[in-house]
Amino acid sequence: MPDKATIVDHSALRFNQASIILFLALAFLLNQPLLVVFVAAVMWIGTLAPGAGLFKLVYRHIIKPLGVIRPVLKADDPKPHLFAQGVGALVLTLSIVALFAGLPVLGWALTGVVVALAAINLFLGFCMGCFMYYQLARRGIHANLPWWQARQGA
Amino acid sequence: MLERTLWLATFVLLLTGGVLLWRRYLEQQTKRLAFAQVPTELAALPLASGPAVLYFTTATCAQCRFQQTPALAAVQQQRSALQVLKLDAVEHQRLADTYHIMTVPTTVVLDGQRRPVAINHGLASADRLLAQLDRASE
Repeated sequence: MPDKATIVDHSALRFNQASIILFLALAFLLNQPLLVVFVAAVMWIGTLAPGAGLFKLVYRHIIKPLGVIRPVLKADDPKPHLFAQGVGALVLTLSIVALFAGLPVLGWALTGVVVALAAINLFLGFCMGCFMYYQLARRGIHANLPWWQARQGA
Repeated sequence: MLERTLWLATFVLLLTGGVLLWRRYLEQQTKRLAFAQVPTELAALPLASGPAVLYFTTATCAQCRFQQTPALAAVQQQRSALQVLKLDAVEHQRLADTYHIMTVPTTVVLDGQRRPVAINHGLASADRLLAQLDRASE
């Protein structure tokens, strides 16, 4: 059994990613930057106070009790998932700045980046945090964020 | 609305096409490596004959610890003779570069002649690894 494992419901993560993709696609289709603001707020809250993320709350209190999606419980570390969400929230914030500064092409392009990364994570299970850490480390940059503290036993 | 729908459809198509092309490129890269000489760094590793898996990881990779390591353990339960060699991708950078490792976890499935049959960039499930090991044994 891996050390320091926490049980993470991967269905909740996937529902969160799917909701992000859906709302951002709707924001673009309806040309509604306020929907981007809404998603960014949900992502920031979900990153800083993981239990209060709106999409995860909807999953926990509505989707799961209704049995629409079956929970997939796995031993996992939630921190890399929160880190990835934080990166997404940051890019989305830049997107909002661009959208309200009269740069719609740049703004929607940045929203597209968040959608693409969420889709790659949702459909391919690619760990963006692992990719970033490794690419930095092989260039001699050893990032030492709290959630990247070295733990042996991989 | 119609114009934006078309833009969105184009985006989805480009993203899907990009992923498919990328996968095709990685498959071709693995085939090229299979026909190349066995890297000297690999020859120096303590591997007996038979199929093997090179497991590239880093000390900070949570996905490795919590998902890839248990998946490999499940594979080893079914293939007791399988050798799994865990390597730190930063410490073994030359070998990592040889196999074009771009992230962790990455698993390189080798046949008995040390030729790569598959390279999984990112998490690989036990079922996927077992299917690749079947190909390595053919």
